[in-house]
Amino acid sequence: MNCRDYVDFLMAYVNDELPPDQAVAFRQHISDCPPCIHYLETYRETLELEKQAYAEQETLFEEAPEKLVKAILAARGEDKI
Amino acid sequence: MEQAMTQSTDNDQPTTASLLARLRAGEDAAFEIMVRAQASRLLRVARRFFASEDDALDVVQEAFLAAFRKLDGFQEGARLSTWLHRITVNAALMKLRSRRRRPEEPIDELLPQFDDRGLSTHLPREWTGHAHELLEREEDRKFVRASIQKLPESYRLVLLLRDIDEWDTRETARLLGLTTGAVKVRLHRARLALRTLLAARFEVEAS
Repeated sequence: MNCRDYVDFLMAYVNDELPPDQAVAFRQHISDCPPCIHYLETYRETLELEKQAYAEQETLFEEAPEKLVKAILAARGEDKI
Repeated sequence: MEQAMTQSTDNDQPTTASLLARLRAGEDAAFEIMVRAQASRLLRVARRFFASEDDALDVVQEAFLAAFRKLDGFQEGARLSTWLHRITVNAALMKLRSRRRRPEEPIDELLPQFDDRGLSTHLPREWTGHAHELLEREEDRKFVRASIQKLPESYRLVLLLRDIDEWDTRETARLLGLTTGAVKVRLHRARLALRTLLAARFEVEAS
């Protein structure tokens, strides 16, 4: 397995979906190619970063912008007619 | 002066039968309670899809109107917040689809490059910190969100739906009108491209 194949299999490996023989070849490649260890690690960091980048905003309670609330209520009034 | 609202729906609670009954009866006050309780959360959902705040505001408005028209389809006991979230995502996708498509930037330059033997031409290095450390800084969280925004739209949408919103592959395929195979390929490329964009900031300097 070379670096290109390794990257192709990355998502399946992280999802634990690689067939056993390919998983063996994947791990063999990592042990032979240190930069690909960094690639796997930083791929995993990427997943965590993207998933968490919005998380704090989700728990934050903000009041709805008054302009938006008014616009929605007005639009509903027109929608009913 | 703003009218003090003493009633609200809790985002995590199933919708009360009484609020639903009042909504279905067309009661204006009930509609206002729903809007005030849910609008800011739905605006945050809509903002992920658009660079422009006006577009996000339009989508939330459209979602509430669509929700109101579809109230009969809302199942009692379901969560109003989940139902509205889905309607908002649909409204966002519809707005994006309605636009005349400009040719999309190719994603290839953001994907890892290899030589003829399939070896990496850029040797990946470690990053300056782990995600949980980097996420402590608002400027870094902003950078991650801005990097997601930079992905070409057809990849960004798959990443938003699969990884951020956590729809499964089949539902994402249905929402975007793609095959499940295409969703998997795009998600894979979107993640690789995002890794490249993030590496520009987080990778340690070459020694």
